[in-house]
Amino acid sequence: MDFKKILEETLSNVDGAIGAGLVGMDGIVIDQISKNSSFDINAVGAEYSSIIKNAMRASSNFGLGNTAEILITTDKATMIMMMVGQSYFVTLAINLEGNLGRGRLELKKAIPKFEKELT
Amino acid sequence: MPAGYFKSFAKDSNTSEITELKKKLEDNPDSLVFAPLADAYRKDGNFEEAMRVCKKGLEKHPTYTSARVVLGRIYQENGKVEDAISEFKKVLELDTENLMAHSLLGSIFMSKSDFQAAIEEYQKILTLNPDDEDTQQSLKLAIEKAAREHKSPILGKKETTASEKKNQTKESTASVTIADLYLKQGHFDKAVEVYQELLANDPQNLMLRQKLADIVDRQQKESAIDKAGSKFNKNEFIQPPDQKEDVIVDEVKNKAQQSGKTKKEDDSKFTNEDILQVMRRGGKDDVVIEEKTSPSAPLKNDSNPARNIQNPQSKLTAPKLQAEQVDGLKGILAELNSVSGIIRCFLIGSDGINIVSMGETSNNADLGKQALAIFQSTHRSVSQMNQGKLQQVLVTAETGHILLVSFLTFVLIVLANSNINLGLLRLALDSAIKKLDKIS
Repeated sequence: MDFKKILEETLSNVDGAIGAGLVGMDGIVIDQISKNSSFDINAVGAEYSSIIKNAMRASSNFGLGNTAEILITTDKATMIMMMVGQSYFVTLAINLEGNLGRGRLELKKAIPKFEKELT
Repeated sequence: MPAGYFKSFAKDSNTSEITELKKKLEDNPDSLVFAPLADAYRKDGNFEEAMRVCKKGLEKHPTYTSARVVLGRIYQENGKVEDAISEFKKVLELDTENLMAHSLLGSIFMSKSDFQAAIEEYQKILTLNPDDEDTQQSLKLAIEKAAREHKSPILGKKETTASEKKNQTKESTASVTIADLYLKQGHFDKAVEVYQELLANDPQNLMLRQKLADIVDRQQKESAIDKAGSKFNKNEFIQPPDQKEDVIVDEVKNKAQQSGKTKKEDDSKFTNEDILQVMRRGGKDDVVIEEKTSPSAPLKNDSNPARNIQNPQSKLTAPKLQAEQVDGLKGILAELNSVSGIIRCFLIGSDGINIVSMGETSNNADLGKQALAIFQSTHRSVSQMNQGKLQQVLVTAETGHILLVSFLTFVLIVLANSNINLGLLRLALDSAIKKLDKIS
């Protein structure tokens, strides 16, 4: 299965979803899809990677073990990031009216598919 | 996309993977696959083709920083060091926190024996990721080499020309680091010597004055010098430069030498812990000076909410904090803390200082500072992503959750176990924020 297909499926199942992407921990974007031209993961893959690394530091500092998920809320959108193995993560951006719970669920469903493709 | 795509990132890339990536690029010339393809060519030693593919791709995707890093590496390995530096600098213009670019720049500067510049790069990496052991080692090496150079004075006594200003700034940063390390080891005389040279080159530098003032402070504490007998006041160094400068520096140096005799004289090796301690402090002193010297800085326009945070002591903490405000804050946090699964919650100010806390309180001071740094860094990333103002960060880890919430000029930190109902937590949080708003 194509990575883009998995991302498209995820995006289409979540109300209010703006974009989604699979990104390496080094900030290189593997694949992405966007409904909104202003949301371009390609241009900011490194920032996502930086956020994930911050979260890992936080988990470690607070003695909570490995990071599994990060949820960022801004005044424009909510971004969910979930780890795919140790080296990649998948991200989904949802507008403020979007279905956040559904977004998390769909990402969780997508992770095994990505992992299968990555092994 | 086939698994072969990823194999191309590994060191043992082979021709078949290159062929596969090439085909992908032919199928979709606008895709970003040009970057891994160029990287695969680089790993195979085919620099010419690597460069051609990468440059062509960058014409279509000029802001794709990962590809620029690849291009920089191609240049670097192909011996085009200046081109590599230029490329990595372009990356940093687009993404100031690109660790790879900082690291590669650091290694280039080391190979050029420009240890001062290498130190700067490694410092930036450790500011972003203090646990990076490789960079700690690289920084240690760079500092030791810079210190050795310093013994045959790099900051000569010659007159400063305008064209030398830029380089001098670089040297200053590194030397302050070296001086900090000397201080950490108790080599006050050596530290003062470095500061003296720096101050001679830059008499207006208030940060250096503050550092000298700190030495005096430390001297007074450590060697129990009678304060009444002290000829100079710490604050003198923070004042704008005047004619007494040389006298002050000499006096500090004399004092330092007196006390420095009790310390080891020839131990100039820096340990990892020394470096880490200096790194942990790194930059903070500069901020303090900025705040002291720029009281009218337009904080309200600063895009960083954590810097926007006004001094909490002036607003919410004692002595200006009203008793009812304290009670109110405690009440709100107590209510929040009563939600099943919350282990602790506390409110911190812009300096990471704990204002009110509920639940477990051990280590709150350290955790508060760490959480603030993480929040600030995440805020910067969100700004770069053009996704508005950061409001909340929820990190879900193996055994619990961390929630960081921007509230006015503060950050609320909630630590919860893994059994918490996130829906209930959000509800409780919304309620808490509304109440906090009322109190403010």
